[in-house]
Amino acid sequence: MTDASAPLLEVSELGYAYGERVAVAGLGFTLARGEVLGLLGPNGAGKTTAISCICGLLTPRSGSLRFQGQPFEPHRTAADRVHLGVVPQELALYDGLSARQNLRFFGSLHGLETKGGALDEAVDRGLSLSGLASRADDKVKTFSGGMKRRLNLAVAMLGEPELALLDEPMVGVDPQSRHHIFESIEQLKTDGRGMLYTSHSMDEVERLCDRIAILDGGRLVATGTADELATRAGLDGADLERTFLELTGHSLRDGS
Amino acid sequence: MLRAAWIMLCKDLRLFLGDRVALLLAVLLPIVLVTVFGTVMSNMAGGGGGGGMPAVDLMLLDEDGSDASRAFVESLRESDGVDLTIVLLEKDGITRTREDLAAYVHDGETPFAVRLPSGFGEGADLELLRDPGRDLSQQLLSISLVRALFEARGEDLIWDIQRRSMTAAGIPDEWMQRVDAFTTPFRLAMESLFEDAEQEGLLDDDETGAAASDGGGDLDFAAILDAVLPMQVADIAPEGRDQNVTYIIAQAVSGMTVMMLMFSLVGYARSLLEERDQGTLRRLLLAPVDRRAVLLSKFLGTYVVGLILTLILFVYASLLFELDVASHFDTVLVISLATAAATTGFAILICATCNTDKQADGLSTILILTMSALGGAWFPLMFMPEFLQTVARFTLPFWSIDAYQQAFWNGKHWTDPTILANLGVLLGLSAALGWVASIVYRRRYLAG
Repeated sequence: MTDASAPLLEVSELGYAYGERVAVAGLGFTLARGEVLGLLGPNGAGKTTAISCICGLLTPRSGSLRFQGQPFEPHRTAADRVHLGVVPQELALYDGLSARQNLRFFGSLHGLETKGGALDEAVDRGLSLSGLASRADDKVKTFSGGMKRRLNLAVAMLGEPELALLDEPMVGVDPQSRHHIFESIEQLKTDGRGMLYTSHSMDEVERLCDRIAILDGGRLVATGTADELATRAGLDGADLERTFLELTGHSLRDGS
Repeated sequence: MLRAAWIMLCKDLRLFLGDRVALLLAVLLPIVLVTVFGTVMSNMAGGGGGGGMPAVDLMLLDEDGSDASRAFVESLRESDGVDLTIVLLEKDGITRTREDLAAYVHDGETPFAVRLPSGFGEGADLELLRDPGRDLSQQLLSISLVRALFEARGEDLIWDIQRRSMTAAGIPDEWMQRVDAFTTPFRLAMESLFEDAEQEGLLDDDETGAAASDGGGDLDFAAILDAVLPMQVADIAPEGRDQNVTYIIAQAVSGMTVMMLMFSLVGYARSLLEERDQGTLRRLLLAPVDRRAVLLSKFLGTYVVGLILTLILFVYASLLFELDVASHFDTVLVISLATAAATTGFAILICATCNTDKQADGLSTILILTMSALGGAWFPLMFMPEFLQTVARFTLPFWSIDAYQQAFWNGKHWTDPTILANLGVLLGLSAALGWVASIVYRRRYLAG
């Protein structure tokens, strides 16, 4: 039984290491329905590892996850992955298939049945979300980077997941596509979905995220709204980039 | 899991069939190689493909001009084993000599030249000029030369050979007169006997009879050997064996099919690595389905493609080389089912183990070529030393090719214990390779 009063996602003491190298240690935060939590950090801070643990691509070495108050083990349980929609950094699409075929394929994997029209509805919704209805039957290899990014997002949302993990979803897109994706995410937020959002773009995070969690060296440095983080850094009224640099330092990070 | 695997399999096949160039190459390349190897092998073996033994280039200078030398030349002209070029003794007022023949050989215009000296008709030795080191060609040529000598010299050659063998054994020349003294009456008596028999029409017209009768125009050296050697020859072939098919053709078609199948299936199974590189594998693993379905779908897709490709190649071979697939269709189908399964296990293991496309290409090329050469895909194992024939049994192609040969050559049905044993090994290999592949896949992609 899910607990309606519990946070959508609760991460406690999450830890992961690649061999001897600790990538994430003691990470904890909560995410509410309809909330967008920005996960910020320099290269190698552990953002992608944290997201991989939460979505079940990696098995956490320590800590726990709870979804609506229930233990959440997507690395082990296929049923837990029903609640998830993941937008990976890479364009995880089949170039040799059309937009519609990609959506149908991933929709089928999410258990959407052809019978009853559930799959067709989801595909139409995906085409609408991505703004690709007019190019639905064109092969993905003919698409621009921005179109692929939009489709990448639409595929993740096919199963109407309650929790979406967006790992730098707007890398390399043109302003029009960027604007479209912004609007799509805001619509998803309005629909009540909780989203974990990673990006190196401070503008994106400031515009989209309700709260921000800053990671460095695999550990959580600070959590709060942009203003709360600025105050904590002693930089009242400063923009997010200044705050971020103050909290994480100016030295170069190469993920070592 | 099966539903998810089926969905992924349909997607993979759609992608595979959607790439027309890749599809064409996947089918065309094996067909081209089966054609080339099958044709080469059939010509080497002298059957089925329309060719005979490879002909040896030979130049000939006839300085004798006798009936015997002309008979010798005519015999060589009719020989399939010799591509004869006559060097005219006189041309444009110039007389050709032994030195001219030697120059042709020296300059590489021909590897062999024969000079029939004056007196050849009376027993003088012919001279063979050769470019040394071509042992196989010379052995082939020797067969034609001996046959032509029989044609030219008739029974005289037999007595000549007898005399020479006794000299070679150490009998002094002066003693040879004593030998002649008691062999000449016998020889004359034998000739008289044959003349009488011929006049009375007692001699057979078949090859053996003709060979023994007149010592002249119709001599068949092979028939003579068969007739005079103390052995009985009996041809035993399974009923229904297509006489146009040689052992080598069946071997070449089966061998090339299995080899190309391995290459093609590794190419198809590489989609696992491509999915990983382009990020779609992560997306598949994130889907709310059993994650083993990903590997299962690759296995099933590879298997289906392998089976279809195998059957296409055998149907093609049946049309081109008159390989009798139709009569053995159920057996060929069952062997192909097992072969495709074993080859799929191999291909999936390669792709589950390797980190990159290039690794998979390199490793699979080395393994496939080595296993094919050792397993009998390139040439029959009978040409290999005994220890390599033992090594062959540790390769996948051996069990498959051997099973196909049992069907095509020995006419065995798939229910025959020999073929069942091969099928057992192939299915066992498939299970073992697939099992190891699933362990590697789980460790690499699912362990996290």
